This record gives sequence, structure tokens and C-alpha cells, in this order.
Amino acid sequence: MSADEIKILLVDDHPVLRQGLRQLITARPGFTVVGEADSGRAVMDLVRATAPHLVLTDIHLPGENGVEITRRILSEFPLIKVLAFSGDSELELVLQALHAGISGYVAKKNGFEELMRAIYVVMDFHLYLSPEIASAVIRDFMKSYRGWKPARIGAGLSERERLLLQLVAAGKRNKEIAGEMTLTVKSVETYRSRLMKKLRCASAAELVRYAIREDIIQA
Amino acid sequence: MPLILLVDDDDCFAAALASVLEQAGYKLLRAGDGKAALRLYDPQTVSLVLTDLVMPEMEGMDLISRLRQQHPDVKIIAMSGGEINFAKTYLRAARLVGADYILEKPFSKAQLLMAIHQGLPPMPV
Repeated sequence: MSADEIKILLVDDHPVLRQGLRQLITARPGFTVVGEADSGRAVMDLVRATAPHLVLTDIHLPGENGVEITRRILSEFPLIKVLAFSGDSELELVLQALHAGISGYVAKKNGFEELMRAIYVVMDFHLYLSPEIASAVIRDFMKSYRGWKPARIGAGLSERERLLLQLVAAGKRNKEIAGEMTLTVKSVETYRSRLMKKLRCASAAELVRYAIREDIIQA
Repeated sequence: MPLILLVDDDDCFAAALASVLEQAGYKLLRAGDGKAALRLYDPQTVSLVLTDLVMPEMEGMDLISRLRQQHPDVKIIAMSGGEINFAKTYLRAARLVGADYILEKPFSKAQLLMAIHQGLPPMPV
């Protein structure tokens, strides 16, 4: 084992799965499996003895589950990455695992290549969720933002820009606008073209549509 | 070298199992459900079918019963896991519809190879 190899500890109650994963993982250059556990009981001793970089754990295990194991590992070794791989991607379980500090959650059915991708991602200090799990988590997260709207392009308009937009949308000519805003016609032209650029409008008609859409003027 | 048709929709588990079996000297064909397995099964080349029971499209139980009907001599090992009572009941049912052997998950490499050895003629040394 070389010093820069990624050391992995496997936790799963299925011996043939552990053995197969060990073979598949160690066949990849740069990875080594430093230990195996079939339940939460043996995990902490193995973690202390083998100092893995990453613990790959099933969620449903006899005794302590993967979430509890994650909490225990991270309370003592906060730098270790814990990656869950499970046949159960129920949202509540995934959220519990994320709250416990898990670095990733992979659906077992998605296969070994995705598991390896997840290992690379979490070792690169990112979070990894299988796509279907990520979708469920994001949908759940977005529920708490019901009624919230994304920031609008024109949200940053100044009072004078807003007034200019109202006057343009009202069909006033540059000379009239200059009079109302006590500006020169040249300045109005400059502000107007700057406003069009800012709002990504190509014509006065688009400015009007924008102003109506954003309730800056009444249709 | 005996060819085993491995049928499982859990791709990670299937990859792990395939790795163990290939290291033990078997050749593997893989299918993700019963329908794909029926398409791949060839009695001239496949020595044994190792199948999960709960799968999409066509379940293992259906696969076992169809294989048994169409190819009475086929050797089949059924495997299943999850909630203990469920797995036991399902595996018992698999026996009734035609599985020669059953393996309850989790199982070890030794248990797996023993079941396969029972279903296959001895490998040439």
C-alpha cells in the first residue's frame, strides 16, 4: 500500500457483497480496502486501527444503522468521509444521513461505476447524491421556498432608471423625458441605451412589455 | 469453463457477485430482469441460472417457472433478501415453482460456491 492510496473501510452485512466490492475496488489503481465490518459494533475499533480516508457503509445493518454509525465516526474523526450505499433511498432516511454529516448517498441498484464516481467526488471534498436521490432532496428543499420568486433582472433598478422606464413605456419622446427629468436629450439617450442593455431589451416595445410584466406601469 | 447467467437488477450487487464468481473461475452472462434473462438464456451454453427474485419487468418467480417449463433440465439457484420472513416465504415459493437451490441474502462466498457446485458438474482441474 503506497502512502497516497485512498484507504477504504467497507461496512455491509452481506459477506459476498463485501468480498466482491473489495476485489473491484482494489483492482482500481490508487485504492485499497483496509478493513471490513458486518455491523456497527466493530466499526469504531476498525476505524481507529486502520485510519481509513473513507468509510463505505450500507444504511440498513444489524444493530446500529448507517446513520448512527456516521454520527459516531464523525464525532471522533470529523475528517473521515462517510459514503452511504443502500438499496433504500427513502427521502427521510437520506435526510437523516445528511444531517448526520454523510458525504454522499448512492443507490445500490445504480452499479459499481457510479459508486466509484461517488468515491472520487467525495474525496474531492464535494457532496455526492445519486441523481434520483438528489432530485427528491431538491424537491423537498424547494417546498420550503413556496411563494419565493427568483430575483428579477430589473430588481436592481435605481429610482431614476425606474422613472425613465415609466416615461419610455408611457410613449414619451426623448425631448419630453429630458424635460421631465431635467436632463439633456443626450443624457436621456445614454441612460436609455444603458437601461436597455441592463434589462436585455432590444427595442422600446420590449421595454414596454418588460414594464407591464414587472408592474412598473399598468397595461 | 461453466457459464452462469446472473440475473439481478441491483447492479452494484451483481458486479460484486460477478467479480467473486469470475475469480472462482466461472464465466458470467448478466441480465437486469427476467425478460432480459429469457432472451439471453441458451441451454447449449448456459450451465446454471442464478437469479434474484424481486425485480422490475419480470420477477424471478416468473422467470423460474417459465425456464422450468421450457427447459426442464435447467439448473436454477434463487436468491433473495430483505425482511427475513418475506425472504424466507419468497424463497420457499421459488422452490415450489422450480428453483433447485435457494440462497438467503446475506450469504458468504463459501455458501454461494457450495450452491453452485451442487448445481454444476465439477470443474476440470
